[in-house]
Amino acid sequence: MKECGKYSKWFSEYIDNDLNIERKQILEQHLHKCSTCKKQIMELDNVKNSLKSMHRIKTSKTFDLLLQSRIRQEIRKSNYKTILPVPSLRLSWRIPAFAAAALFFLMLGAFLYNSYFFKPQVSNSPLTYIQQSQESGLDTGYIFITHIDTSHNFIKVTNYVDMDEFLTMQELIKKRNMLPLENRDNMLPDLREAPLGDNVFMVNQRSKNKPKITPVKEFSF
Amino acid sequence: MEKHSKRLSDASDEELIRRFQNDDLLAYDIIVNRYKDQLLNFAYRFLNNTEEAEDVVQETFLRLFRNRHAYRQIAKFSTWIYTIAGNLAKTELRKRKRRKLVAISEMGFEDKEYEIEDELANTERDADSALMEKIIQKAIDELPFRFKQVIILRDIQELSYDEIGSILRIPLGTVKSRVNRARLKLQSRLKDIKVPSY
Repeated sequence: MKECGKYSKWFSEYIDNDLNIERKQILEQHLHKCSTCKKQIMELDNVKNSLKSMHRIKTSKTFDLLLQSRIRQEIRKSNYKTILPVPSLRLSWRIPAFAAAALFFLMLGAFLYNSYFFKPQVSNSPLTYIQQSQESGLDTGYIFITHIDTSHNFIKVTNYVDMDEFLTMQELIKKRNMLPLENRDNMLPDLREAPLGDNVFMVNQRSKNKPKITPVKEFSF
Repeated sequence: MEKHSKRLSDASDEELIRRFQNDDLLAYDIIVNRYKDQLLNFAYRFLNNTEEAEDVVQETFLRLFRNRHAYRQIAKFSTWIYTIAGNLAKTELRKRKRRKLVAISEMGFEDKEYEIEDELANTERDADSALMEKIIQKAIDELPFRFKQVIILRDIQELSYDEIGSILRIPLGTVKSRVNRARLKLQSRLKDIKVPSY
């Protein structure tokens, strides 16, 4: 029918229940008489349901990891980070005004501390701590220092990842994605909790008895 | 901290972005978790490639992070973030055309597509859901861009006509017209496929 062309413009609104009452009544009267239009509306509804039934995909675990890393870099660029003072040193994302001065002195202290990092120091420097841990069998991999207790002048390794011979984060992610889902979660810490700066080390097992520990400045993604 | 987190997770998008603009990164976390899957789904239906779609969504959230102060509460937050993601997906499509590259997954799919057409030519057959989805995705891919946009937002993302109009900056009447025409085009491609009833 000639008038079918006029009504076909309303089909989608009709199946979406979005057509005003007047037009709905006119269309329904037409549908009683026109089996072609009636069939077409059913087919359009079919299309709508087909699209609605498509499965929804989800982001991978690597997505979260990469985004966290990229945000860390953004934060580093914009100097958003702050460190709250004792009793424990923990990254917070807020920079209250009263902590700005504390931040300055703490950063200064961290800078001075890091300048002397590889020089022989008191026994609770990070490198010494790690080396001492070799006795209890520290495996190769990346070490993330995720907790610093300034009240006791102590840096504690609270998390590390066994990466065998991996040298880059990309290789780690590749291996991680090969694992069954249930084994993936514990493989890497939440990067957001890791303090920025020179607190990441890589342990390579160059020889059985003497592991080599080197600092890692940046992750390679 | 936990109490704060629980309260925030119930907050509206607009409240969350306002808090994020005041440097509350927990609010940003919640926004990411709230939108990451739906934006991925949106980008994936555009690009038909999971890796590219994840890149688009990553970039969307990075832009949100960098440009949070650009958001004004005149429009809904969801409109804003979908606009960013949509523009990025569109840019990716244009880049793809210029590169004239075909992703391996697409090549594989096209090979199968010819098989499917031969099998289903002029016959009515039930298709299992995976096969059907490939056919539907292929039909979506073949739509002109202006129809592809609206049909993904309307029938896959299930956004309202008003919201689609805001995201694409087109009049409501145009949205309705394009949705209708997109469905009619898809209908002519898909008419031989049965849909599971709900």
